[in-house]
Amino acid sequence: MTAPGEKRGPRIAVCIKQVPKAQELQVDPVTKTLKRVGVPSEINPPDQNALETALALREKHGGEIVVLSMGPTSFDESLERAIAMGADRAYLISDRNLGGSDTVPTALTLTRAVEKVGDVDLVLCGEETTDASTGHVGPGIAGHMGIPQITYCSAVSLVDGRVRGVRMIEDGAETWEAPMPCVVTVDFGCNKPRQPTLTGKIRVKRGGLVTHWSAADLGLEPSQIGLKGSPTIVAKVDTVQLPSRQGKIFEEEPTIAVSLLLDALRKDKVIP
Amino acid sequence: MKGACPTPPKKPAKPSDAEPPRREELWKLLSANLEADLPAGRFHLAAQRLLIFRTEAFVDLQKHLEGTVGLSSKGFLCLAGEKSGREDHSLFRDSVEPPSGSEAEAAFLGRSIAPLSLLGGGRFAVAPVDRGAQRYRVTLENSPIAEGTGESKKPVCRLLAGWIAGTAERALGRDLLCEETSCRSQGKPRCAFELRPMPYRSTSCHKGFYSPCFSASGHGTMAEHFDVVVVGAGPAGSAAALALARKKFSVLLVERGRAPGTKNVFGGRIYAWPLFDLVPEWVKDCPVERLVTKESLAFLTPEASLGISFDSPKLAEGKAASFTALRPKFDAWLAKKAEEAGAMLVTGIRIDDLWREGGKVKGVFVAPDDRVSADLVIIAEGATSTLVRRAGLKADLEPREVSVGVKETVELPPETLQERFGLSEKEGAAAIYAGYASLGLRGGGFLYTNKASLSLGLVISSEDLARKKLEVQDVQTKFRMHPAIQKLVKGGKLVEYSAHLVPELGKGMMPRLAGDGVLVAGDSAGFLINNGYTFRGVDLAMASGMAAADAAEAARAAGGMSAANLAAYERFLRARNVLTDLEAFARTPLYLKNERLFDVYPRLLVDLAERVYRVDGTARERLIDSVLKGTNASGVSKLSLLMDLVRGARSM
Repeated sequence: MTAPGEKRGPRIAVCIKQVPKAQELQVDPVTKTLKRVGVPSEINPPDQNALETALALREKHGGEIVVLSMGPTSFDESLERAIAMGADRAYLISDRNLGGSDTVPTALTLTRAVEKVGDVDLVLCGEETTDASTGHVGPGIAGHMGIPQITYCSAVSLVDGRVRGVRMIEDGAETWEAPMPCVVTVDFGCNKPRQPTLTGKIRVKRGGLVTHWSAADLGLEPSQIGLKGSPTIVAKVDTVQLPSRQGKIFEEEPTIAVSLLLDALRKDKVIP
Repeated sequence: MKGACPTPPKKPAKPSDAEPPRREELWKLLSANLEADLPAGRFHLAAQRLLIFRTEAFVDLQKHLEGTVGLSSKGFLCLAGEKSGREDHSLFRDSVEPPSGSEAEAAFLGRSIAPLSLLGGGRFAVAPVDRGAQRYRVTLENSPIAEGTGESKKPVCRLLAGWIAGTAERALGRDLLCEETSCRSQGKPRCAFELRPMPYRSTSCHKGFYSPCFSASGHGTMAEHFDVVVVGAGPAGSAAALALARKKFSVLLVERGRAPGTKNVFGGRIYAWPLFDLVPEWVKDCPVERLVTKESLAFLTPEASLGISFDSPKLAEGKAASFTALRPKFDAWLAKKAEEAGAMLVTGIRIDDLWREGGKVKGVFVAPDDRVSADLVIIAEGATSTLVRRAGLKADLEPREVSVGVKETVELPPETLQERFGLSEKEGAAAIYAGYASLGLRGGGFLYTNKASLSLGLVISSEDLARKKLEVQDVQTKFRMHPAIQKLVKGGKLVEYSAHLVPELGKGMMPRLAGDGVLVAGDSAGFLINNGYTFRGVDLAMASGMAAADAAEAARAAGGMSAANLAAYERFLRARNVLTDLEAFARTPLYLKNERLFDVYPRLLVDLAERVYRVDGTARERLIDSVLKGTNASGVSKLSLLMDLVRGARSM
């Protein structure tokens, strides 16, 4: 761990969000919004890959991992899990005034938190969340901070004080380098997040590693955050009813079955 | 071992021969752990039975196996070797120091594998092949299997490859594959094996080992220490943690399940007596389902049931009270009490091994960089404990030592339950079923009433199930469909199905209860009484947890957690009536092994009842004649009936 005043390795901030478990996703039939209460949740899976990337970098270069998140106090569960997996400390920005924020105030809030932590060399985010899938927040932080960004990276390394990221594109891979500080967003599934350890869980139980900040602690004005600070307006949310399959099985001899199938498809105008 | 090393000569791997004192020391350790019971013809190495036979016998076996099953024999042999390697490693290992760097890791591997030569494996040497890829080459000069086999086109030391893999896996704490690349039987001067990381098995789902991470920042290497680590937050573990925390020990209570009670199964009833001491105010908030005021025992045949039932409010009075409970609620409650008293509860972590140094338990081990040190480890991880084996306190479980317990939870409205069982709102019933309940196999059925559900299940000898080729869930279904049970569960909704092993032999299967820095409590110690009319486990578990805390306190006062100081555990177990009760019923498990008890006698009794109660206008006979006729028809001699009666009376 870094001794005060003497910086041995990079300080990495990992931004995470707690999301409902993918297999448990439920849409409220009345409000048409995602159910978030009473549903088992987890750290957004791409954010887990970002955290694993950070842990691997710390193993190689030393330094410190600070985990940041914005959300209700129930997010403590995920921050504690991040510490149990190996992060050094965590901050939750939790404030009623932040309710209703879209990705713009969220990115601003996390930016302020990164600045308050101070001396952050690298900000890691997941490529996007599994519950909203915007992919805005990482680039938003880079924009607010005015620093470089490399998005959708499947491999991240530190070379001579610079960040090198490999991003998969359609016909190959690009390798980018950027000076630090820098924001990198990490591809979902690019590594295998480790499990919490016993010693990690003991550190969580000993307490004092998760700190709560309010919007005011970060110097955020009410006009900048929440619904007021959010340019996005949700006009309508619809669920799509998928037509169910008919599941007809032709059990005749293959040659007969094929012609029957073709007839049926022609009749329904699936094929000409 | 000079010259055996395959690396370039400029940097020879350190030969493990450079440590002859260690070899001597290991030999001493081996001889100290070797016990011979000459009259009985038994050899034991660290509580595991040993059979000494000529290598040729094994080579013959291997040849036959290869001839019969072909290529897959390689896998069998390798797996058998791996199992042995893991066990042997736990005997010889003197520390779990995480080596860093492949050079040091190779030396560490060499030290871990070298002891195999003491068991007759030959002379081994280890050297790294590819540093980055964590690949190692193990050479063996004089493989007993290669020498015994003679010439062969393929490598033959499958068993040894597994042996090396098992040992290396334990030493390094990660999955490894070991393959013999060249063999003496192929005409080579020596056998060579390649050890490499397992290519496909994921690390997170296997045994809980995680890829070793030696953080440059030193993260994770910070040692955590507690006075006592308790493994398992069931009734034994939580009782121990609670009692220890009250005695001002720093205590870590580790539970494998997501929460206490989620991995535990029991019939459904807890005898309350230890709680009066452990949590004197337990009545206030203990999650009691119902206080048992009605006890019954019934013998079933396929259609009929003959029962006795005892109904008395006295059953629920004072220290003799017993209550029905649900484990997720009860275990969570007791663990919470331990936390409130100051113990630290950590859930979702499985402890795979003990951290041992020089034969003394120093703590618990999850992965090389994930260990916690402790002056004392209390093993309370249930019937299928692996740690008692790792600690060398007990050999593998045998089928005859365990039964299989299954349980269904059937939801019914409280009013329906009360009506069907004749209970008031807080009262509960406990019932035991013999005979056809278990289809005549050794074991029996149980039924307990909860607030708004029934616990219905069976405990059946796993030996019998295997022998009769029956699936326990099929027996359970037949039991549930029995007319006598159907009228009780009718209309209910099956909400939960669970199963677990049950220690069955009581005192007969107890491991050594105390070692250097280690104690065993609860089901792990075999503390369970089944005398045919009562099943006791949770109460003995709690009492043994408290006794473990007593022993720790006494040992602390005596100067430390040495085996000698902890030996007083047995005395405390007696003081808390755990061992005394187990000894009182020590004969019962053997008595209950008598199959007549589960098959013939229930039929006999039901038959007798039919003779007595059926009035159809034909000539009646005296009761004694009915008994005699029934006995004759059953095919059991009067002598064995009489002897069973006498034995039964003595063992109960």
